[in-house]
Amino acid sequence: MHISTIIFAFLRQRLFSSLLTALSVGAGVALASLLIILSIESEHTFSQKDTGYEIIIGAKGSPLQLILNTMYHIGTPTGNISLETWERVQKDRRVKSHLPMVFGDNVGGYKVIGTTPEFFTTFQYRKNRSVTVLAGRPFAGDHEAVLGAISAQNLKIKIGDSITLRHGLSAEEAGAHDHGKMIVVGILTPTNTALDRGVFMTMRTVWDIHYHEYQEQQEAAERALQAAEQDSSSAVAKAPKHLHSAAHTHHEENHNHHESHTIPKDFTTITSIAVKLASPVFFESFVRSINETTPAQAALPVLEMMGLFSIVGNINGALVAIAGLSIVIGAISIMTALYNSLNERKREIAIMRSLGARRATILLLILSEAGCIGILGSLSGVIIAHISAFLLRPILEQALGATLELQLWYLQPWLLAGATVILTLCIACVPAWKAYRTSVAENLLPR
Amino acid sequence: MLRVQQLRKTFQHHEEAPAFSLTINELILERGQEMVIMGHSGAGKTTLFHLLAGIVAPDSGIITLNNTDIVALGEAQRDRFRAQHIGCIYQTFNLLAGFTALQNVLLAQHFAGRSDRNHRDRAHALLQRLGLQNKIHRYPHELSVGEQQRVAVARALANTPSLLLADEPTASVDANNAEQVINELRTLAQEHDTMLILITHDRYVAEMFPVITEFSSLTR
Repeated sequence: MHISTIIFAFLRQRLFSSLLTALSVGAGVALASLLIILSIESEHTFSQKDTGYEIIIGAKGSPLQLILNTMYHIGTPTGNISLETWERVQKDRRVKSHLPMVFGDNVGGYKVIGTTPEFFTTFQYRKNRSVTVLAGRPFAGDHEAVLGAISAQNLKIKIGDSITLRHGLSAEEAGAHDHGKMIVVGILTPTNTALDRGVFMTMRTVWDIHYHEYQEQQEAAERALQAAEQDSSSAVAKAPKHLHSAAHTHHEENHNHHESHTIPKDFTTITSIAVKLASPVFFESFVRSINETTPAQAALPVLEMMGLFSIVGNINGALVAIAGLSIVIGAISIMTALYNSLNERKREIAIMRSLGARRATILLLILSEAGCIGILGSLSGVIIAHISAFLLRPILEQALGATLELQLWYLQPWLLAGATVILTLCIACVPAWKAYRTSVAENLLPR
Repeated sequence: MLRVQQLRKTFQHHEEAPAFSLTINELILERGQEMVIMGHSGAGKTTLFHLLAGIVAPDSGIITLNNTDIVALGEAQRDRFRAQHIGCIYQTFNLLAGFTALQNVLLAQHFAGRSDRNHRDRAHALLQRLGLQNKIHRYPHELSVGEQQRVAVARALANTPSLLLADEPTASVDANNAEQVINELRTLAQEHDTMLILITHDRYVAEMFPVITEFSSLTR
């Protein structure tokens, strides 16, 4: 008979309580491991210093909000800036490249970004990495859309499909734009950035849609006013049917040719501009000139993200510490379970001792049992953490606005699991010692 | 051969009870001999059982079994010696609930350091001999009281001990089964040339043996 058979028989005898104890350890390890994995990945994603966004110009407000919105599509924009600001950037000789962006609608929950054809040429989302089209072609004219890799995949859209913009920044917000229909002409190569979750088109397309929406709202308001006036002037008269149909006809006539009209200045605003300077020596002067002489602000992503991470890092540390505490609690639960079971097991131990088992053998058995529970709990915890990370990935990516490059396995959770088993064994020394000290003669008789 | 001389042990039945002093002047048993010790409850029979088994150490005196002084051995050595040379049968059988009938027997062999094939075969043979061949993989709670008792007997004999100690082995079974158990024990002990000491308070059981040793006569 092998010692493992004896340990297995012990575990089997208390299968339910052993599993429950393992579960409590596993939950702690899973929580801590998941936090570690997410902490590694979020830091990896957000602290990329080779981002192509050197400076971001947007409306005054929180620079971090501006950066998170522009680079990661998180939160709402700080506001809009005028075309004059963009024109000024264009003329600035310190600027090497610039890319204006207009945010403010979505397609199936994926943000719409109006931009210029420079998106496909001079813009670099990372050092020396330009946006390329995997299938189809870049947008050439208005009312043509190019989808990010993930947007296209998740919305199950292919080239030639027609898409409709929905108003607002998220899918839950109010209805579709009547004029938001457009043709998909291209799908981008994956970039592992928030760009994968975007829907891109010309700025004019976005402006156009907003302007038409505005016009429609005005017409609807006018109709409602007229109807109210008629109702109050004649209680018998009903609202003429032709009014609606006339308005409808007018509406169709008016908007069939998207590019045939001019858009008022109020509707041609920009959310942000990604700027790359000709030389790092211009950083200070450029940022200063934007901040002090225009209504906009210039923010430095690297600086802001470092600031963010100094805060997030502390929170992460605190979370991992809490998770670590839950592991200690798990280990203590093993000790408690074993310690409590010792009272029931004193007779068992006494019988084994009477059969010739040495005290050291009893010590080894109790420690092995604790070790098995610890190993089972830790293993399941790490596996659960890895599976959870993959299951939570879509939600996290949506929330973080970035693609997490999850790996199949991480070293740190396994180290944590090893440390948990060692901790369990150390704590289990308490009940093991009690078992070691069990008196044979006193416990041989039934209680 | 078992030789006990001037053995002294002070003990209490429970913490608040007065201390008793058990003294055995001399007890000698030759190879293959049997002895039934009869005494009333609380006389110290179980203490004597524990002393002879080496489960507790005496305050003074000598217990030699096959020329080894058990008293002089350290605790770990005594555990190993007991496993190899002494078989114990208890009133409540003391089978391990988490182990099958066969595993209970094999466990005794494991702790004696005898896990080879010969001993495994012996475990099977003993259980078969005691009529348990179809129940070797059953757990104690799946066996009748009589069957549990037989497993306890098989376990006590698993390592071919020189001395078989039985403390009230028939207390949990009826009169018919009691007789059968005693007969089996005596037969098996004789077959293996094993010394048998049976401790009981039951005169009916004691009278199954040709000679009865009164516990009081040992302590005189």
